[in-house]
Amino acid sequence: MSKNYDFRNLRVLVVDDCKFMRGILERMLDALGIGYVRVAIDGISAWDMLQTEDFDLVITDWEMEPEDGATFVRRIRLDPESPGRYIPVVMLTGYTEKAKVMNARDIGITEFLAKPLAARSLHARIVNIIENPRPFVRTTSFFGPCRRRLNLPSFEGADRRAAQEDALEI
Amino acid sequence: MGREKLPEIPANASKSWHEVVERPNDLAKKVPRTGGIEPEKAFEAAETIVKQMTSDYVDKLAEDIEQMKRLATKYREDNSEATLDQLFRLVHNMRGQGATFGFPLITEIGRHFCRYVRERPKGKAVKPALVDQHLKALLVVYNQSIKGSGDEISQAVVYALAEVVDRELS
Repeated sequence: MSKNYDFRNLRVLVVDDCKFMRGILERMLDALGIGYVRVAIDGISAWDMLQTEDFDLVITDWEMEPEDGATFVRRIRLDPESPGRYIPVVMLTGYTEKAKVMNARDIGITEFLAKPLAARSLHARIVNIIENPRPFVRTTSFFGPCRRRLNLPSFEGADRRAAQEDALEI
Repeated sequence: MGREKLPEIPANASKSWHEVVERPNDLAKKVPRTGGIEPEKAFEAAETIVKQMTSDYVDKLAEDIEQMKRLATKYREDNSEATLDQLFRLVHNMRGQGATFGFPLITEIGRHFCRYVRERPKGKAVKPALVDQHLKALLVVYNQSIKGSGDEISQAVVYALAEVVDRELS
């Protein structure tokens, strides 16, 4: 039986340039029982919000202007002034191409979630972050959660429906 | 959260050098495994939200397609990378939303378009005629309100687009 996680104390920052997606994400997180959700329209405004507020989790889109999700995550992990170097980051994106997923992994995301958006897969990613935190690894070219255990989509065919939660060892 | 120093790389670090940083699982303390919403109930609630937002989504899809028409016309006239980038961002967002609201063909057509724009060989211009073909395919899905994977004809159209894009990328 699945556990009834109590997310009331969780503080989540959603970063997406699309107002419509921000709206649905906010409502979906609310349905999951997340207690506090704020939204930002791109990496720059999200960075500013991280300076002034504590968050437990960031959910970010990839394609945004003027600062995209990849640049934002890199700043979180590597900027000397980062206010949340170790904060878990879920990259939520329309991209499903293997190269993009590997790129996201290499900039230090914690979880990858391909659209279409579904509450079940969003919940699974959040639970995985809580139940299976990964140590951080610093190498000469990388800083972020250990890349050996990351939920990645399979790459067969077209965009997959969100219910598949297979974890691949990479 | 607070600022935490980025682990330093030793001056004499070899390529295989790495440092593992174990972190306390603060989120597990913040999120009890009991007392929250039953996941299946939360997923049902989220599905209801998506259903409620579907008519808003269809309105937005209509706006996006109109915007795409305008940009496709502009691209035919100016052939500029800036217009193409606007087109890409618009379709990339459409791609992310389609399947979430039961229109996977929008996602699929959008995926081929984004692939075409971003993965084409360097120096090879995006053909306005192919932009129009994607636009027409999106219009058909919208006008006929084709939910799910559609009929044989719509699948054939999407397959044909994929083939053309493959040819352009090779």
